[in-house]
Amino acid sequence: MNSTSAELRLQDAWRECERHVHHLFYAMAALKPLWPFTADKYGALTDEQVQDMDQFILRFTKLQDTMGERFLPAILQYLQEPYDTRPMLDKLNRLEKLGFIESVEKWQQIRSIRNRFAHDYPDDPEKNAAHINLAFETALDLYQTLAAAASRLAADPYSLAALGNPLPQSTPDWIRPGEDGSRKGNNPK
Amino acid sequence: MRLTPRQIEIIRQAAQVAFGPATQVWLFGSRVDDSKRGGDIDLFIETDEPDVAKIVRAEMAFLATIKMQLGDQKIDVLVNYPARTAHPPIFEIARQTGVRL
Repeated sequence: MNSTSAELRLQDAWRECERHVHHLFYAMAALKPLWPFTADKYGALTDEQVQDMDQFILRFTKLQDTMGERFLPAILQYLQEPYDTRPMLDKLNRLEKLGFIESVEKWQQIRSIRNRFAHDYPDDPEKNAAHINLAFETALDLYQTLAAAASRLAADPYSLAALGNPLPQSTPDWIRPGEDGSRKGNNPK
Repeated sequence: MRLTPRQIEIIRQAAQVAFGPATQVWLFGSRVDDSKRGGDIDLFIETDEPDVAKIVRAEMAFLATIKMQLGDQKIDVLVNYPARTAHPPIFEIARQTGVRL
């Protein structure tokens, strides 16, 4: 692939990610008063809140898919890394080495979080609520991965002129990792 | 049972690292049946971890670890934990028909 079409592909993937982030953060802002979720709160959502939650789940899923299937592979193509036909795990390992993802393991965990949304588990309301809390936290990780990739690609030695629209300035920074109780006792405040 | 000793060891180890040393793992479903082929890996896990937020993290870490080591197979996990309020019949079936790993 020549460099122009690699660049176009990267910009196209970015545009899609940016739209998903926008709608994802909008849904999260709407649900902010309910965070962190509990089984009781999650079970008592109004119809409107269920719509917001569906929007969150849809955009979280699509963002993770788009980053994994389009954006991250497009980075490798843009950098002319010969990974086009290699398995995803090889691509992820290379992206970790290049510093575009925190770690392959972390990325696979995010993938698992996304996959759990494929099914409903009506008999496990406590874990459903905990899963949503974790996904909220992880939405920020996805955002930060995108933001970090954008600033790296804009700088030396890559000097990509433009990716596209910037990510939303206002992030759900009211999410404090661990406030869902997962780090009880070792989270000094 | 249609798992190799290496696969069993990877699953057992990953479960104990993610959920804690007292964790027990059963294989159930079609992989227990030697006459079948392929199919999902259905696992039933019992942990003594009381905190559900930690359990959901442990489950994601567990899945990530085994997928990295076994390749991208379809793995279904049921987790029983002390704070769990509902215990659907599949739990008893998994324990009775499953094989402890």
